[in-house]
Amino acid sequence: MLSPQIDTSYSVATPEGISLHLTPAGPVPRIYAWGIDVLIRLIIYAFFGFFSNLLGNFGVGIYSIVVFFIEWFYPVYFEIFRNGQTPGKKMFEIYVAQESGAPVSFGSSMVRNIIRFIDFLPILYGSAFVSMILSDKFQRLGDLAANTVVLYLPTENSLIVENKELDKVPSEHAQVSFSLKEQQALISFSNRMGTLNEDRSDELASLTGDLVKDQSHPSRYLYAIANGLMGKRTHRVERETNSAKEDKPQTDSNTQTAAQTDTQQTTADSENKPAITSMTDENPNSGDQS
Amino acid sequence: MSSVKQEPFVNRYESQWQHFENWMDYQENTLQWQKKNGPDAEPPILDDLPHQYRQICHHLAMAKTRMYSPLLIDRLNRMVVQGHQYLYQTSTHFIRDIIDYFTITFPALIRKERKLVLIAALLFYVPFFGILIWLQFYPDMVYSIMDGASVRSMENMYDPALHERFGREREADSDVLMFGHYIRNNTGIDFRTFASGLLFGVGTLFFTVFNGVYIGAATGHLTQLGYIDTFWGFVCGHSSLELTALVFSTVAGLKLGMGIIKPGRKSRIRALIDNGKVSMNIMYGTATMTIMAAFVEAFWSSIAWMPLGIKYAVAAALWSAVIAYFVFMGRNAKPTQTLVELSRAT
Repeated sequence: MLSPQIDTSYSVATPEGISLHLTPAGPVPRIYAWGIDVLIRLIIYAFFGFFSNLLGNFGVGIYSIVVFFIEWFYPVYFEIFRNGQTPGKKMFEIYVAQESGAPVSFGSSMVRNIIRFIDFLPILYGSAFVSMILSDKFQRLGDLAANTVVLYLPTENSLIVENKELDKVPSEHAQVSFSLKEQQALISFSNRMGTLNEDRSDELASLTGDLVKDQSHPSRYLYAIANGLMGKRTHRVERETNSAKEDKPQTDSNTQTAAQTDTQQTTADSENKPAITSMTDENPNSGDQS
Repeated sequence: MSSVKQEPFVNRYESQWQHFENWMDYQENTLQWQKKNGPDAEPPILDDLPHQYRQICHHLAMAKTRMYSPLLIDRLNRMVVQGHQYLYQTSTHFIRDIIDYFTITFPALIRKERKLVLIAALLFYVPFFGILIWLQFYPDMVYSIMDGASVRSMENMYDPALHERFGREREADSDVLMFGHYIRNNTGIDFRTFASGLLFGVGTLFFTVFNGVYIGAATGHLTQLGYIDTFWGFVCGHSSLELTALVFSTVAGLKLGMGIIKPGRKSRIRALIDNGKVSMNIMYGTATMTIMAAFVEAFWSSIAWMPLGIKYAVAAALWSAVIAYFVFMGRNAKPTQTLVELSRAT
């Protein structure tokens, strides 16, 4: 059993039977993004103000209308037509979405941006801040009423990099079998190795104890095992024919069954587990959702 | 060994994924895609998006269960999020929705919320007429509501002695100036009245009563001074649209507050979300009315040479039109999609 998560991610079930993994953004990137947007608006006001002043009263009238629309609809425009991202949000790689992960609707966008007035009270988004801290998805009052969230864009995990040099390491099969979690720990480790220097990765690798006892390069050895687990390059020809047989395009309805069968098969393999799950600090829990 | 290893799995589907990602990139940001692939690159074509999307969902499910590398799971999850966003975006028939809204949805919503409309109207008009009448007997009391400077500048604006010289009260370009000012100021007031409903409705109550008192004081004071022709002649034209919109933004604010105070059998947050949708649908029309009022105020009410009789006649016509619109418009029409969704939710 996993300990309760302290991160803020949540999952949304879709009609296709899988769960979307979404990560709400907290106050800090949102404050930065807001700052950028304020700056942009001030520049527009200044620019427009200067030119409309040249046109006398007529210009000032137009200026008021422009200010009105920018004041209330600047975020709405970007949320609807620019994938939920004002320029500030784009810069900090966050976006507005419905709580379900669907794109924000016009109505919701209007609600959250008009209620911004209340979020601003009593001073500089005080209510918004309190509301974000108290709600589990960092929603300000406008978000709560509009059923929206601000999410991080799904980006590539920067900790995981592919390393061309390590790719040359051949595959190897260990003499023990691994549990699912151990397998994934090994694979995560091999993915991360590109970001670690050799001494550090050897040090981490040697935490596995008996497994790497006789190895001169423990981390390379684990990398090789991970390669083997992922099926890289060993008996490639034979394996591909195999996979063609097993991975026949399946219809949607039997996804679950197919996936379950695979789990059972893999778990059956695992006995004699070496203690390696502690090696990486990432907790591979994604498998628990199915 | 048993299940399919990651590498062959990736090899097998890589081209399908790349094609999907490429297509998604093109859909999300065509300009950037063209920058990356050159301006003459052939745009990717994806047949049967739902099917492709379901397959990738299925790949993600398999990758998760088989505990493939987080790198791969992240990538698949990213594709699924993109596909989900694209597939489930709300498609809108823009023009059609707007026509439906003004011919059916808006007046029907107002009729449906008639209880709140009554309450909101009382909240505004009782203080309004109360102060208006009170000031006829105790004129000095205006100074306990407004400060002296405001009273003086208001008197200057409508003093008949100061206006007889002008053919038109203002030049055309200052009409535009005032138009901009009215839009920004009055619509802003509507939005704030609505938004502050979130404070358990109290904010809306405050703004409404405050407006009733303040506008009542201005009207009462100028009436008592006898500036009937300049003041009433000026305000009567746009009053129907502007004051009615003010009342409706109170309705929207109260509706929002009711979600929190009286959620019924729903959770407070759910009731707030559902009521928020109704409120927002009321606010679209309300904001439109306020902008129309600003137009009338800036370009019609300000024409000083127009005979008063015509001004009062137009005002009466506008009041009748506004009332008739909300009483009769779309009465027997088939409920719109929006109405159906809203009544299902509330």
